[in-house]
Amino acid sequence: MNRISRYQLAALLLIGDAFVLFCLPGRICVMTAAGFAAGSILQLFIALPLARLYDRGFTLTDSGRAVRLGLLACVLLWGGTMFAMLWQTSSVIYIPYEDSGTWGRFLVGGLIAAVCIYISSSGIKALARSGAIAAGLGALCVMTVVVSASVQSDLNNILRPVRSDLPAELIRGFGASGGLGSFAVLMSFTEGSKVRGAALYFACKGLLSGVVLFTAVAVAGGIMEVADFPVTAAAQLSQPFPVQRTDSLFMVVFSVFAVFSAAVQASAAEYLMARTIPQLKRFRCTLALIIMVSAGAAIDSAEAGMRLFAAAAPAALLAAPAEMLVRGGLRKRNEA
Amino acid sequence: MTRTERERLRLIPELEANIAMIKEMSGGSSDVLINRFRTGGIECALICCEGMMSSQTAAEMVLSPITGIPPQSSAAGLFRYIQTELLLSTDRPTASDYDTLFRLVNSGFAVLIAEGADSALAFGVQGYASRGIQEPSGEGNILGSHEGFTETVRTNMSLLRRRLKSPELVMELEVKGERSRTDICLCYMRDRVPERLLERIRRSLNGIELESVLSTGYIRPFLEKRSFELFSSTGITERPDVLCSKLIEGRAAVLIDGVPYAMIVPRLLCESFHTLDDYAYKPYYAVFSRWLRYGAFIVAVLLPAVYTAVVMHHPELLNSTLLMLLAEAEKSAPLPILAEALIVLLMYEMIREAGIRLPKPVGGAVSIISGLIIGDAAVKSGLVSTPLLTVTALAVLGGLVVPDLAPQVTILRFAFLAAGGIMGVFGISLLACAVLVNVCATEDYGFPFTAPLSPFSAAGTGDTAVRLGMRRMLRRGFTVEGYYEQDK
Repeated sequence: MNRISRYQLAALLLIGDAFVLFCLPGRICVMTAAGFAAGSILQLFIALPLARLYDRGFTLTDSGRAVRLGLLACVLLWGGTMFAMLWQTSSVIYIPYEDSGTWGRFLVGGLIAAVCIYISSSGIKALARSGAIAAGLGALCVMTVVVSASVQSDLNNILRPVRSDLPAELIRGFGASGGLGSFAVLMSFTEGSKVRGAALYFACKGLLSGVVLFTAVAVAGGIMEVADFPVTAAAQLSQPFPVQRTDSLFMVVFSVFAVFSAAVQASAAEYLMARTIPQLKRFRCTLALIIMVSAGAAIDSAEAGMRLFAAAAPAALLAAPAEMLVRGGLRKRNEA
Repeated sequence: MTRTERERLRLIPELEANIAMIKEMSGGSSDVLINRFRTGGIECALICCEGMMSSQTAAEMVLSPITGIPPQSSAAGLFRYIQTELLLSTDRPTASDYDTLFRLVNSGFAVLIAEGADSALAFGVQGYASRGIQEPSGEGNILGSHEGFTETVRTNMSLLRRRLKSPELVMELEVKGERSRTDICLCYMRDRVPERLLERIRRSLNGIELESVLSTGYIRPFLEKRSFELFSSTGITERPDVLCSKLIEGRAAVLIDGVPYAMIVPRLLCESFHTLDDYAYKPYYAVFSRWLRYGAFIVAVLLPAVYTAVVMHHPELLNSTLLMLLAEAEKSAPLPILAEALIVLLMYEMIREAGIRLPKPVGGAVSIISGLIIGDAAVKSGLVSTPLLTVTALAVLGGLVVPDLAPQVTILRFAFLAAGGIMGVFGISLLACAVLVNVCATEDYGFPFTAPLSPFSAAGTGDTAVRLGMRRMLRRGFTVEGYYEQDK
């Protein structure tokens, strides 16, 4: 049985969320941290109907083909957006050969895709177990960066006047939550109460977003005008040792999280493809990754992709419950 | 003649015909001895294999009592008399086909056939030359027992029984190998081992179709999954005390005749970092040495790769003093750092292989040649830089701390070195992800190899991340079943 625990589910999805935070483009302020954290709570409420539905024995095969296709499109597009984020952020994180034109970018993307294919072929259990270890190690590294950042932080950065409001940042948080499509898929593998699983994940997500963004503002608030990727800039600025740079720690976390984020999307897409296009018997994961890399290359900027998900992310969570509701209503009307 | 044919051929109640058949089947082999004699008024023959039995025991315990049997009316009466009136040996199986007869003869039994009998009586008088119990060569410890397994399966069984006198310890002997007819012993604690684990191990062992079983490597693939696994999910030990501790934890083991090692099923990754001395020392010291081993493993696998990646692709990560030092050292080296590192590591592997294969007196000379001449000369001539040699030596030293994982460390070190040299820290991270997933996918019989780390088990960390005091450990009442997960 391919079952994963709710802790493994949370770990897998949080890796993706952390990666999005690392690649988050544009200016951030305290309101961003608040918006992302509040957005997580709101997302929990949006996810509850789906979680309740799963707890009652619902599986994705019970939903209509259109819903599954919609979820598949959401997962593939978010995978593409992640590749776009990776390539964009690589401009400030040195990856060998990445800067040598289109082929360099495809080499990096291709290597990640190759590892993702291997990960997906190992099964969801292996992905969940390794994801939990990666998330644990990543959490340690993030904590190290946060602790060292606290030395470099300036409280005045937090008190700087904010230029955006909570609703705008809330929507931005939704835009950075494209992983909710894979959340809808992975929940079907989770053991025990899905509601508790969802609560754990969104609570951790809110905490992670709040802490990382708050620290980034505290450290990089002063250079926000010139920082393309504030969280990455904050990590690069926060060096715990006076004579030794620790960017490598961040680089390792960045690469590992990139791989696992893409692998989660690829595995979710493979699962949906098997249930939506049964004629496709082989190379589903490879095909999913080819679509993702191509989508990533086609997307002009990660920001553009993320804007789309401000609406697509809640839709991914609500589609199946809404469909069940409509079907139930129709059945009742027919019975009447 | 195949084994199946031998199994089909049964003994007949004609002594001469049986002897002729035995001679034909053995091809006149010089070590098969056929001693004819008359006892109880019936013509008999005692068949044995020279060198496999003790002549003295055979003469005292079998030949002497048998020749004094009073007259019997038939061969059946003679065999009944021997079975009920004489206590010739404690192990007295019977054989009615030639396959069983030859297996017994070649295992050191003296086999009695008689005129008019369609079966044979065997007496356990084994007495072949074997290596005595010695200190294990590969699993040294300071405060524990100094006894190791030997090549004789029955001696190994006795080593276990001496330590676990409980009737719950079960040792099931069976024969494997079409031609070698090797004794294989499945050991387990009846009250501890999960029933489904035992069933599936039996099923795996029954699926073995080999001509011979000459080492653990012949059986291991049948006990493990077919998919590619970097790490082995069955363990190996040459220490009876270690095996006893594993059996008490609910694991099963397989002993093979002719092999001084036992295979343990299932095995977890964390066990490669445990030694028996961990339980002899105070917990604080045991925790320290355990973490030292974890660190040594990381150093052994990653240090050359990280060094190469940083020097070649990320020099900004070095502080200025270190950067200058390395730049100065590498300036005179004629080869690129990746090539230099690969050559040094390959050189080490050659020296190691030579040290293992060469006769012991020559081994010392190899150390001198490698350490003093090659190492010193290579640095002085400028072929290899000193920092790289230091890094390689540290990595090699780290690998020696965890000998259980030596093959994996060797291969992973090369793979990570190539990844780090070509793609820097990014390459190392990618490969680390693939390796991590491979390790996490290793699971046989429903026991995840990475337990108790992932899936996490708080109870399991008491003897992995730390080492609790003995009283607290015993209170846990741990068995391996705690890690069981439903199979895929």
